[in-house]
Amino acid sequence: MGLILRLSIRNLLRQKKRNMFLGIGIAFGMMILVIANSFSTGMVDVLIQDVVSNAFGHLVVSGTPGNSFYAVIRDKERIEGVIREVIPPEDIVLITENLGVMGTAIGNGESDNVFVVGVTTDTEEEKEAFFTDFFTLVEGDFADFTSYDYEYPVIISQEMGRSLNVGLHDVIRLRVPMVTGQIQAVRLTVIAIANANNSFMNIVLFLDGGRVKELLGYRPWESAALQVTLRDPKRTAAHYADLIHQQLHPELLYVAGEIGGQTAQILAFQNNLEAKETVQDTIVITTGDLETALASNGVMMSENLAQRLKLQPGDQFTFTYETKFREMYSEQFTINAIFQSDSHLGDEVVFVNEERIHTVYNRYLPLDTKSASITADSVLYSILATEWKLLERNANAQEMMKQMRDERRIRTTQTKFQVMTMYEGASQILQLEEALNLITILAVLVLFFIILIGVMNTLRMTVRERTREIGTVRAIGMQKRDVRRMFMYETLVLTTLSCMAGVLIGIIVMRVLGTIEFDTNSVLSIILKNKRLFFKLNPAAMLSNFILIMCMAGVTAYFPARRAARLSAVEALRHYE
Amino acid sequence: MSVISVKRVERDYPLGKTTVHALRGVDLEIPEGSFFSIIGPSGSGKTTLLNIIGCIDNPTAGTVSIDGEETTKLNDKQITDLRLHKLGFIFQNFNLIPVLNVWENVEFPLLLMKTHRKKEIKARVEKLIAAVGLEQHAHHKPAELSGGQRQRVAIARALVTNPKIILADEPTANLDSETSHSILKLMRDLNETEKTTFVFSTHDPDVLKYAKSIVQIKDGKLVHAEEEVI
Ligand SMILES: Nc1ncnc2c1ncn2[C@@H]1O[C@H](COP(=O)(O)OP(=O)(O)OP(=O)(O)O)[C@@H](O)[C@H]1O
Ligand SMILES: [Mg+2]
Repeated sequence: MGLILRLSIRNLLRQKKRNMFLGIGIAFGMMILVIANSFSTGMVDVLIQDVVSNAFGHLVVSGTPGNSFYAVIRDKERIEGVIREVIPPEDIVLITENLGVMGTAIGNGESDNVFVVGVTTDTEEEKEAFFTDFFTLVEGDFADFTSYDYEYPVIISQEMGRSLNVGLHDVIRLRVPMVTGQIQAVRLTVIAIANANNSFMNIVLFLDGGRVKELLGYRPWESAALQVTLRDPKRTAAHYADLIHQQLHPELLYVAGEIGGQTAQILAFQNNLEAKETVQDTIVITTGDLETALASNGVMMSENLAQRLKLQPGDQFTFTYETKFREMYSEQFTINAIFQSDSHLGDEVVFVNEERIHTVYNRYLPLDTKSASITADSVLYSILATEWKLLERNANAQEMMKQMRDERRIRTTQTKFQVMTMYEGASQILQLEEALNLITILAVLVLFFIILIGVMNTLRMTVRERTREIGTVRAIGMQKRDVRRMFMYETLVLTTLSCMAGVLIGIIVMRVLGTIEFDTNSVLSIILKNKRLFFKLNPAAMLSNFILIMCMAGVTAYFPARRAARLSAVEALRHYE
Repeated sequence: MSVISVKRVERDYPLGKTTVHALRGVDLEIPEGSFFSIIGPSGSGKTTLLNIIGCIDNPTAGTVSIDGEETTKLNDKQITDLRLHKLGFIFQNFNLIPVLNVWENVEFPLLLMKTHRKKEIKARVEKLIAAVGLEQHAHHKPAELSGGQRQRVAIARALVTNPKIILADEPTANLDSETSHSILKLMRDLNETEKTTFVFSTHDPDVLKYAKSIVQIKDGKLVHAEEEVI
């Protein structure tokens, strides 16, 4: 060991009491830092991993029909395809459907509002992992979860069991709204009572995903919002969300089919003033009433097609087309007006208000969506309706709320697609973390201040006491630099040891705090995991705190140490105390 | 040729509005291998003179040369190096490093030099501890030693680097007369065996019988030229 370091350590041990005090101060500061950091890391973990990402995924793609509250992706394969095309498989942990809906549950004489969640697990391992990671089983058997012995097997929490007054194998009657708007009533059988590791989840009824889908009225090719769990969400979520957003650019709303043996196509104009004015300026009506043709259920037909079909305004016709899922679908329309065939729209076009067609289009997606003959240079192109509306991406929850409010104001049946990540959706929670960190930083600053004064004073005292020794070593031939170093080392060694002690004590304290059970159902319970405070060590933060403390101790020690080094040897030797 | 050459050295201390003239033009040549004593009453300037020779203080005027090198021209780093390599100090208050034991105290200047190998250091320290008769106490801390033993450690420490000159400011002032005699005898012996130049100050005439050369100082001036005692 170097001479200077050896001297420093010996000198540290010489003033045991004083250095111990300072050491305890620093250790205490470090301990607070470690605990605070681990707590906020743990909390974010609990909130993000367990609450937010379980409830919403890291990245969500959802389609909401018009002003409704539920998400239906009509073509799961296509949208999932886009997601898989954009995100490399190694970055995806899981793509699941967000099958969650509020409903009313009635147990034995008791009822409660519940949140029904469908659990989709593709493989046995996934299932196993889900059950063991997520639950503590109290009663029953998870194996029954997908069993067909029961119509709707359900897992409930102990708390839910109490509030509904039901036990294992009892029946719960559930009423939930379907995607079609009707209310569905079913009987669930409790196959397991288990507590989720986060008490936030205690109001949830867990059902098999496939059965929830059925229950809510999704058809096999449809899906609820798709949620993607990513390998490294912090780094990739926003980027992938942006890419997916680009890829989801909507196509023209276009249906190819036939009317009475004649090929025909449906195009739609947007249901807004500007669009209607453009239509009025561009299209020449030969018979019928333009006003009614522009209304929200308005239908116009090209003169050429109408002549071939011998149709007049007021007449009905049936449009038949093949859907994407290989069915034939027919829809009846009433003609409001006939327009002069021209180069804008072609000869075979039924031109309708978008509100007349969105619901039909979405419910019976056409097979052929690509062969529309109208081109982008057409005057009408910009006012044609698209298959869906792609909502802009938002930076945070506030923007998202505002967008939602704005969208609600416009009455429409058009589906709205949205791509979001939990960082926008959960930005309020993340802000909570920031606030927590800020509080930590403030507390730490105060602590640092105390430490600084401690280091400064201790070293001042030490230098004064050892002045004659400094004179001696300088006379013998120790360089200024080494004297300074000796005092710096003393502080830095003390700080290092104290920080290590602080980390250790912090870990012990966290262990102890982590064993205390909090029986609360208040909001606070969402920061608890298994009813306990959850701490997660954050080595990077610990290291940066350590470096920060070392820097501060170093800077504070520097000046007294320099003063010691600059003492004149004669003066120091004459020093008398 | 003299190993120490002091020429017209003056040292003034400002003291409030007046100035204390601690040295008023001292000329002194000390040949190599001397056992040289500076004697004078309290406040006469002995410490001041030794500090200036020892390059830990600077003269207000005049020059000092150590081993032919004019020290008054050197910067702090160079002068510190010169002290480490060419000078050894023995203090009235022993000034050992309290956290180091006897062995470590003696070893200390060698470690500062960073030029010796471990084996050399061990041999040299061992030899000097034996020379001052402290083999039994090598692992004792200064606080566990008597005054005489402490001064022996200080002597060993001063000699360990094989310096040209050892400066000792009243080395026996804090010791009883019996111990003083043994310390001076030890210094004198080492002066003879190691050929190291010793310069020491005292105000105790009893000590003088060990000196080979003596110079007397009074009010910052040498009162009569050195004289050969033996
Ligand atoms: N740092 C200083 N500031 C002011 N005056 C000083 C200082 N050092 C020494 N003096 C003065 O210089 C003169 C010489 O002092 P010095 O210490 O050299 O005497 P000395 O011969 O060593 O005395 P003693 O035998 O008591 O040790 C004294 O008058 C003293 O007061
Ligand atoms: Mg003196």
